[in-house]
Amino acid sequence: MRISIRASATIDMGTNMSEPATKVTIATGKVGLSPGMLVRGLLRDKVTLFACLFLTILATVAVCAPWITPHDPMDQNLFMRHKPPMTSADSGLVHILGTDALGRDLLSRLMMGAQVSLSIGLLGVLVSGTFGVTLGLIAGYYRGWIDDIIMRAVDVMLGFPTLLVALFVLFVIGGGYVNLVLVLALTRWMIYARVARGMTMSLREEPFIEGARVIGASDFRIITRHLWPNLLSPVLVLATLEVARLILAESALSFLGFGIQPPSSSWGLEVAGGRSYITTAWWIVTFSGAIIFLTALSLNLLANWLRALADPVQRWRWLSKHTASQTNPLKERQ
Amino acid sequence: MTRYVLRRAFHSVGVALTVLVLVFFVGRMIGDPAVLILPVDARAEQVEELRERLGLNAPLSTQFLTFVTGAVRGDFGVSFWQQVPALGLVLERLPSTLLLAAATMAISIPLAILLGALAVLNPGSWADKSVTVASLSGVSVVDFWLGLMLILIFSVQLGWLPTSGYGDLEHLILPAVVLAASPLGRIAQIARSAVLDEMSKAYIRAARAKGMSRRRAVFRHGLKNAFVPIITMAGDETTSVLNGAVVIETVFAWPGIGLLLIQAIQRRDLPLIESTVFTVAVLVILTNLFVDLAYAYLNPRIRYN
Amino acid sequence: MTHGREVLVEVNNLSVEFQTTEGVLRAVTGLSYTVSQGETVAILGESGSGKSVSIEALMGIIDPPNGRITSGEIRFRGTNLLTMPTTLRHRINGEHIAMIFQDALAALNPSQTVGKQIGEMFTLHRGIRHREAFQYAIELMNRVRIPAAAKRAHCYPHEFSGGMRQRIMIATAIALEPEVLIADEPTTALDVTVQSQIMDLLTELRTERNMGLVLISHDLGVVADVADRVLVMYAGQIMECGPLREVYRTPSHPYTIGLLNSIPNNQSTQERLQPIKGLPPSPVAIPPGCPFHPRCPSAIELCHRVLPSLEKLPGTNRASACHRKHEVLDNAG
Repeated sequence: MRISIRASATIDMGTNMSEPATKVTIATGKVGLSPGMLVRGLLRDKVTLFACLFLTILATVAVCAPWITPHDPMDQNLFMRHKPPMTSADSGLVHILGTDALGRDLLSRLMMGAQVSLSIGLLGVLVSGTFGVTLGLIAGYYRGWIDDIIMRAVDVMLGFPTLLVALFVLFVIGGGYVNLVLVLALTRWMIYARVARGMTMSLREEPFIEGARVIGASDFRIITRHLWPNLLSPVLVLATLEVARLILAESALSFLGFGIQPPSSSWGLEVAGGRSYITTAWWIVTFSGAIIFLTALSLNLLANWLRALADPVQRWRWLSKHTASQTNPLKERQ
Repeated sequence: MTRYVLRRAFHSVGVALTVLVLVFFVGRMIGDPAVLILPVDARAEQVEELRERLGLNAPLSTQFLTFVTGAVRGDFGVSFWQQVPALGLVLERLPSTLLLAAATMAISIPLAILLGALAVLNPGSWADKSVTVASLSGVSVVDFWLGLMLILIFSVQLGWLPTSGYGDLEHLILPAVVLAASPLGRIAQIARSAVLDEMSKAYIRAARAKGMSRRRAVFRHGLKNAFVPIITMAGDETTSVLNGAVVIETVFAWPGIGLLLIQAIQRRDLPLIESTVFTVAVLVILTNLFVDLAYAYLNPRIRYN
Repeated sequence: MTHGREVLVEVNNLSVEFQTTEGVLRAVTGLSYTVSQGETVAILGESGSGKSVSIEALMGIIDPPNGRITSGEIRFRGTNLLTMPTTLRHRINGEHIAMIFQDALAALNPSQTVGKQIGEMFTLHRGIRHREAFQYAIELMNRVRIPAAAKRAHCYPHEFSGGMRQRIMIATAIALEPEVLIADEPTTALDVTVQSQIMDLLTELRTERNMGLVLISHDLGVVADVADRVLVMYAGQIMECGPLREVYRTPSHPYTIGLLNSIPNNQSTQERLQPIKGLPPSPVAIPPGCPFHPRCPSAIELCHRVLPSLEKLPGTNRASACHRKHEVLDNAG
């Protein structure tokens, strides 16, 4: 994978005598964020490294969940209700995180829940991102009436209480996996449209786009070959943030009973299930919620780091030995 | 200035009308309200009777006109559940939600700005890093879970605060603190980066050349000019808090419009659902209008143009 | 030239570095100069020659850990500012040493009235109330000849023209009658006609108050009319310094010659403008030996290896950092 970003900070030491002293210009041009750079940056930043490791393990567990759960997540055992963490089952296997109200193994349920929660987050982002970026690109590239219509829709949607709309729509069309993905996508596409439009508007004026137009490249080619690659890195950062947001939204909707329906499992649903027994079986709510929090935190840490890395003015911090300061001396001399 | 205010106000009315239209269509187009309202095993004549009573047999355009003219007068119909005007029920619950939202923002905004400024005072220091991690944690918080955990610790274990309910200040503390976590994180992040941006500008260097310490430059000049992103974020977060109130009110049995919405949905009370969603939408629109006016108030360039 | 006048600022062997992605940026290396009462010292150089950074070091507004003063001392009336506690250090600014910035619009707070910003000098240093400080601000605006000052003091920076904004900056800087005034490219952003008005105002104030004036510029023309002494900087180092007239008439460094040849209407014998060939070095990769040697028409093998030190020219007040200074001087003469 190679993320290209436009704009790189260079110190302009130009010969032009009328230039003010030590002026810094942001030159444009493609600068690749190579895998090597990512790895080097990651090794420097321990917190993000842990976040990445956590997410990798989580994703692996989610994918392999059907084969690696220590217990059958659906297996009810009324003799084993509300057993605290580390209780041994009859089979000799330990319920590491305890059991729920039906005697099901909590760890196994959370592993299956990971599959649902993570995939809803990813799919929701994929749908809303594709839709939003496409509309944003069109609005920013063609401008005029089409831009007006799209951005007016964005304004109106942003003025909506989105979670309430999601509840309302889910009430009308019913919960469940597919509906949840669609509703979440419906409430979040505007963010991508805004970012994509803003970037397209500014990129449109760049010489390399003008150049492509002059030599007769089609709009489709300009958009796919020239604009999209330059949008990739900000959209990637945004998408990472949005996965965290959607996982949180999914858990809230499922918690309220409007999202994933039993007997399917999702993290929010596990919290809801443990809510009534919070005083007698604290572990159900505690662990189910903690896993949501840790996942969202890891994603946010990752996005924060990616953003810093994708910003050429900030990137030096992560790659230079002195990671202490947040401001770039070059930027400060503008 | 007056023209600016009028333009923004006009825009808000436009958005409100659009919301009204959408509420109507989402409510009517996706399914037959009579079927939704009645139990699944209702007989056909029951459905027909309800359709007639609700005016659903009239053409859609007539229904829409009735709905809009009613809504403009504040009439969303009678709640099926309580048999009183739906909007009245919502307005009855509104103050408690507004109280919760106000308390939340009163906690989060000043604290977030303070944290952001603190981080900027010593960029790269452990204080700065702590602020970053704390704000990311705030953003990642699972609000209903945090609520349950705090109930477990402060109400069940320590017995310091009530688990739920409405009335005294002590009822307000836990829900407001839980709701404040996310806006605190987001506003602190934006405050930090906005002030940091300001700090690199020439007028800050000029202020320091005048004999101002870095700390004073941050608080006197940097903060005030960093207001645009901070206020924008604070406005967005107020909107999120109004959304998040639905979940948190349920967790703490806080009798606001969020809890009312859940109850209305459970009882399939369409007029009540519609008036709740519309009321919250109006609150969101008012928040955005307020943010626009705050820009004008704080930025002399907008004020005079 | 400076006999009988007190030395106000004394900079000795100052070096400043910045940390960047590309490596250590050596912005200023081994800089030394003095400023005395009633004297105008000009610091000349191209973009990136380190002139602005040297001034920021003097004002104490280089923030660690990116920027670091690695060696040297800056003395004001004998006290080393670099070893002063920061709480006392920033009180010197404005009170004793004041500064005017290049871009007045950027250097004024956009959300405060100019009256308040000028008055801030009094509230900040003298503990005077805002209302009274505002009256002082109006007096100062009158002093720098801003028309209708009492009314205009209530306006915001963006409501003034460029020249008027620069006058506001000057009014702010002279508010507390500082001993030293630093002007960083004070006229670069202005129209030519306004430029001379501002320069006249500055020299008038300098004479009136017997201030030491440090003028940073890339424009030899602006400097020529007002400066007593000149420092020519290149790649963070002084190439040549001395009384302005002598340096202009008989430059002793090839870089100074290059600068003089690249501006129109100077006294040089050249008919055509001759810009200096090549580009200044990146401050993260300053060449070994003399930093100017890659662009120098008179460079010899020695220049590639050995950094020439700034040495006095015998029998003068001048100094030059060129291995061939005597030959250069003879040719120029």
